Amino acid sequence: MIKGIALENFAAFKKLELEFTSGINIIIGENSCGKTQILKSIYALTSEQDITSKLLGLFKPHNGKLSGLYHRGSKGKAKVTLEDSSGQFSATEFGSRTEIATSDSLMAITGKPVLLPTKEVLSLLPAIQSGEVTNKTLATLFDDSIIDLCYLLLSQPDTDISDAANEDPRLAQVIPMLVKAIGGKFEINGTDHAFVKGTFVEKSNSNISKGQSAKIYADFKQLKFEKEKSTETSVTMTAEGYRKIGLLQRLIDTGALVKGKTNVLLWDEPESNINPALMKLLVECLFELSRNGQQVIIASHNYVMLKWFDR
Amino acid sequence: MDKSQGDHVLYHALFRDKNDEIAKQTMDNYKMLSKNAIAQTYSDLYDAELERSLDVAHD
Repeated sequence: MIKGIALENFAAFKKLELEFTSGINIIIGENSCGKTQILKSIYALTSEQDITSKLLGLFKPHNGKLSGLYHRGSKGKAKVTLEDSSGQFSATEFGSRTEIATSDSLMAITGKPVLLPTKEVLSLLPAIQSGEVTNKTLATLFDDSIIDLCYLLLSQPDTDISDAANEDPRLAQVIPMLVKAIGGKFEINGTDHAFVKGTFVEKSNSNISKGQSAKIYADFKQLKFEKEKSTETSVTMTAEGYRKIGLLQRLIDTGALVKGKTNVLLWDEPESNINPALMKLLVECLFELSRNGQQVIIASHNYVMLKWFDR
Repeated sequence: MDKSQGDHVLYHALFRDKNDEIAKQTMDNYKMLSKNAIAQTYSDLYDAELERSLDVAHD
């Protein structure tokens, strides 16, 4: 769990410290106050990649160098420090003219962080999976948060989503909620990317014998995704707001967002492209993930979403 | 939010101080945030709308 972050002479920040809850953290503020920079800083310091290339890949400063991330008019080194709940630190620093950032970490990285950018990326996946777009071109078009997320979404599920839902009571709450909200789920089978209409239904567990009590029988109902017939749609033909919710569904589907496997869920403007009515459900899903031990840090501009959190 | 289930939300409002540097205000109660650009904008809109409807009623 990330306990706090301190930023000094870095990007938009002269000096700023934030302490986080293990539950849900919401960063608000006007444009150009550094909300996204905080999310990217946490992501960089919890990633295992070389810190200099990660900072440059995420922030893409105008000169392509770390000096472009140095807070203008400052003196001393730029520093970013994360502290975890056990009091261990992960830190990086660099001078105004240095090209390599030093890093020091005693933090035990418990799983990969997940950073969801403002844009949906499901529609990019077929092109990236095809291999026709080179890594160099990708790096020119997108920052690391988008590229990393695309590869995470392309990973194959460890288990079937229905099995995952049946094994974890919290996911059994979240997955059907997401699927019900968008009327189906996004699937990747080989090179076939599609939105499949359907819903989760409860099925009785056939392993329970008729001789057992009615209560045991009822408790052992299982969730199963039932497709509607001939209802596969191309990803790009689905509403962009559905694709945003689909990001969460696919991350759970692939096992990238499960208890103990994910470090922290960082989400930049989850409300973008989503109707206010759907925001309520999205907030409920984030609460369920939080109750499952998932730390969440989001940046938001949206009044309706904030009010759903506040109810 | 359901506190009986252990829900906890922290709100971190970022704003520019008198030196034009980024500062923060952290609260676990949304209503207690005084540096809240979003709520302030909605409050201004609500006041303007109220004023407009009163003008219409007065006419």
